[in-house]
Amino acid sequence: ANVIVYNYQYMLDPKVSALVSRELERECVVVFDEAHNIDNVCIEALSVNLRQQTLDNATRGINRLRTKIDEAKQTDAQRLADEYNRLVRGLAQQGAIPQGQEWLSNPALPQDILQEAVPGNIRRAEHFMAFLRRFVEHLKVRLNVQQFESENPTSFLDKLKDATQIDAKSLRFCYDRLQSLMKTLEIVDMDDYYGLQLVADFGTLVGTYARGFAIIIEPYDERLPSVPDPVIQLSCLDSSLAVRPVFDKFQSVVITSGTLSPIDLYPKILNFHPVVIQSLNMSLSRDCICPVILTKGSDQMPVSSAFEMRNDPGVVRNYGKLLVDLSAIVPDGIVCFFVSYLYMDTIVSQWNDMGILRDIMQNKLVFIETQDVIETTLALDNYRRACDCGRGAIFFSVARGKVAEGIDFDRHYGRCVVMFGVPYQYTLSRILRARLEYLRETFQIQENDFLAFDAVRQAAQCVGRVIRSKADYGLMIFADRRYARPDKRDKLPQWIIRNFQQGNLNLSEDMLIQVAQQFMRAMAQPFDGSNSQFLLSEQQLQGMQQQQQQQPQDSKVVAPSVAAGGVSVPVAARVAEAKAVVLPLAPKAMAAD
Amino acid sequence: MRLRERRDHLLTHASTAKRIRRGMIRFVQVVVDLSRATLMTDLRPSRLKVVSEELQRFVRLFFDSNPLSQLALCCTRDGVARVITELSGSPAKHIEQLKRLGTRKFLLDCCGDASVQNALELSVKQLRDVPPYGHREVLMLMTSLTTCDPGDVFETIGQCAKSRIHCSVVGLGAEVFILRELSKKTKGKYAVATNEMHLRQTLEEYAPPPPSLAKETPSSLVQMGFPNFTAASDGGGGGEGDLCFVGLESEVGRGRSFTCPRCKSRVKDLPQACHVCGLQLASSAHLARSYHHLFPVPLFNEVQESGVPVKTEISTEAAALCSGCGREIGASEGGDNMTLECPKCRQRFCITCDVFIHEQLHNCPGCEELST
Repeated sequence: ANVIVYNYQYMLDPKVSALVSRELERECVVVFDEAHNIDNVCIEALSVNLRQQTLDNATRGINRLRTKIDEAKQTDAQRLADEYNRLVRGLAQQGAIPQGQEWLSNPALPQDILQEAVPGNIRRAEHFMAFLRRFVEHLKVRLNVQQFESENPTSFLDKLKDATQIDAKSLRFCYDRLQSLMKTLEIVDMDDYYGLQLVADFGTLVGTYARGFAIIIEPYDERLPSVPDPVIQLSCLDSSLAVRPVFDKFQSVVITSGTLSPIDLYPKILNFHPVVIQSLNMSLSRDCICPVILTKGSDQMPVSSAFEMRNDPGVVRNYGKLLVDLSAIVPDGIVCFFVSYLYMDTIVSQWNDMGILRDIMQNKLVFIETQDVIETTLALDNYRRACDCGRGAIFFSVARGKVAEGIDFDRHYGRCVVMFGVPYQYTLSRILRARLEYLRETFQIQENDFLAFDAVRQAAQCVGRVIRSKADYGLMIFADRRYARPDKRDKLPQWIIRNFQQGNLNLSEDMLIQVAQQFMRAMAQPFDGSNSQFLLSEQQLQGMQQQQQQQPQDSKVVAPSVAAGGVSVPVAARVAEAKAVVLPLAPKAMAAD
Repeated sequence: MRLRERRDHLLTHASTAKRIRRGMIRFVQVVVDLSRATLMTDLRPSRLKVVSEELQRFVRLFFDSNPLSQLALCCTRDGVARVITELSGSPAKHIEQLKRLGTRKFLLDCCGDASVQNALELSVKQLRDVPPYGHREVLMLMTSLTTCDPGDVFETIGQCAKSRIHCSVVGLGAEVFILRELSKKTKGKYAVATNEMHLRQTLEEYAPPPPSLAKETPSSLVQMGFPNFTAASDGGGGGEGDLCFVGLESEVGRGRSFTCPRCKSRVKDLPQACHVCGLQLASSAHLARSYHHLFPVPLFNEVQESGVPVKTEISTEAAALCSGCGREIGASEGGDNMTLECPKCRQRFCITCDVFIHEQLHNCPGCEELST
């Protein structure tokens, strides 16, 4: 193949990428599209959570393996003996296992796996089982705590050694040993052993990395203190770990997104030096986006979703009035994003009590996203039908939910989007706090800065759902007074900032309605794409083609090819030196050119 | 300069210059939206007043440009659609009803939701009995951004398209998807007015007859009658006793009446369909007024000022005078000395006369001179 398109995990998650992406050559060009969440993906790829049922499953798995080992000893002791010899000779990774037929993969990164013989205390299968059993028992003991504990891997290993005499080096080979054992015993139903796999992943990661991880043990979720739900979380704090092998292996890596801002934060977090940083405009011929910041209601009281102001009836009423007036002047579909499910539930029930919902429903139907996938799909489907047939509809959704991540509201499905509040993450979560501390120590990034960056990135992503082509248009409303402050406003992507008109940065609700009416009327006028601007015009493209013909050896074709039989074409000269290129692009604006 | 803009407007609408087939005999159903949204005051003094006035103006303009056509009015209000006036060719009736828009007495006040589907179904019903040579149209003036329909509106749109009804929409607030679909599928136009002046201009664009597709209206012969004018009967006072059945209401005709050539019944006014035998009655003046749509005055060419030799027998001294108004070109209108020349008779005109000839007069004075 010349072009391969797949998920991030196939490239970043070490467990999967070793299976799938190992064959790719160095001369490939890797492009991460919509990469604003790439740091979260990197972190999730290297994190493991262990709960009570996982450990119980692991114990059952160990018992089952024990019986299998005993059976194998009786029927075919030769196999086990062969395996032992192989391990002695240090052929843990290779051996009789043909390439490309692995089921398990090492959760640690390729360069961190020690290329040496498996230590002696786990070479024999029975010893390895005993080792695993001790490890799982220790984990169960650690799980039974009454209060929160947070520590780094080194102290965890110390405690482990004190209790069970297991040292870090043998823990590192957990995965390798388990894989080799599974092969030898010819186990086919891997799903039964998922608990054991997780424990092996946990052990390997803890044993391999001393920095950049944190182990957090929680007896219950803080939001529901009465429900006991103990969990051991090994959370990766450093997002540059997972992406480092990609940077090292491939010749050119391009990170692009429509909402990659502030752009200099990404090289810091992912720990690389970009060769080119470029920010491209949207090439629009008319101002088809109208972003506005709403800071107060028509009674001049400020509105916000901050904790202290959230449940103030004045704020709730102002937000409600905004929606009622918008539903009268915006045609077809409106999308509203809230900061969390809880907030959405509270505010909708308060609106119901105040009669605001009834007023809204006279103008448009209301649909809401829930945590159930089927309900949400039904709601979306009916929302689209309502927009199509002229009845008009409003869709309530949550900023970090499934709808915000994936669903487009282009054309008449989204003529206006309202972001109620600033979508901060749950700031009291221990994992987040551990990560913030790590970022502060290692990269000198302030906590408030990072939280604001994350929140604004999510808001920009939600708001960008309504524009998908040049002929499309939409009104984007940021309804919180905190957006007017420069520290949040500057973190918005360039294509939004550029379209901010001076008077729209600090609007009250009645002024916003005026602005919205004018915008809707202006956008309804006929639009011909004849005077549109292009980033790359016909003549430029022809010029480039002629240049290419004159210099045939500098081919501009970028074609990653798979090893067997493909022709690898050298990449164009100017990109060859690039280690990483960071390019934010407006969503799909290029595709419409 | 405003005159230049109007000339550019004429130039861009090149279809007005070519000879194309047009739907001359139009049957237009005007739908007025009397829902809640019409009470908004973003147009001064209120949307309802503006709509009412502009429609009255449009009705007059329509009958000026299309004397052989007929117009009907209906409204959509409170989720249902209702007929205000039936199809007829006299502007007075329509204007009278339009003046009453907004009063509660005749159930013409604004309330409730608009219903596009009901309005379309009503229009289909009204336009069903139109003869096949007629060009069927619906003009909807929608202020509401939402529609409350009892069934599948797409089905009704399909029905309109099948019945060859061209639906055009003039919107007032914003662009609505379903109306855009409606105008696309039925090959009409959709425009959204931004202010009162723009609304007037948009409605003016609907007045001249639209181009018609060849397969829709096969060319056929239309039977029409040209009645004689019967004055009041002589002798004894000027016809008090003459009764004249005029449509549904019988009126005492005050002298003036026309006699249908086929059934000899009397009609009060022209153009009209005879209420006894159904024959389309018109006068020659009406036909003449429609003539200029089919044979428009050709666009005048601009003459270069300096140096380009122009083949003409007229001497250069006389070329400085406009053949239309007799004044020097460039003397009036702020010194705009664009000289325009008719391609047929080669007379020179100033820009004021050019715009007047093409927009109002529809006859070139030079060509008239030549033909006599």
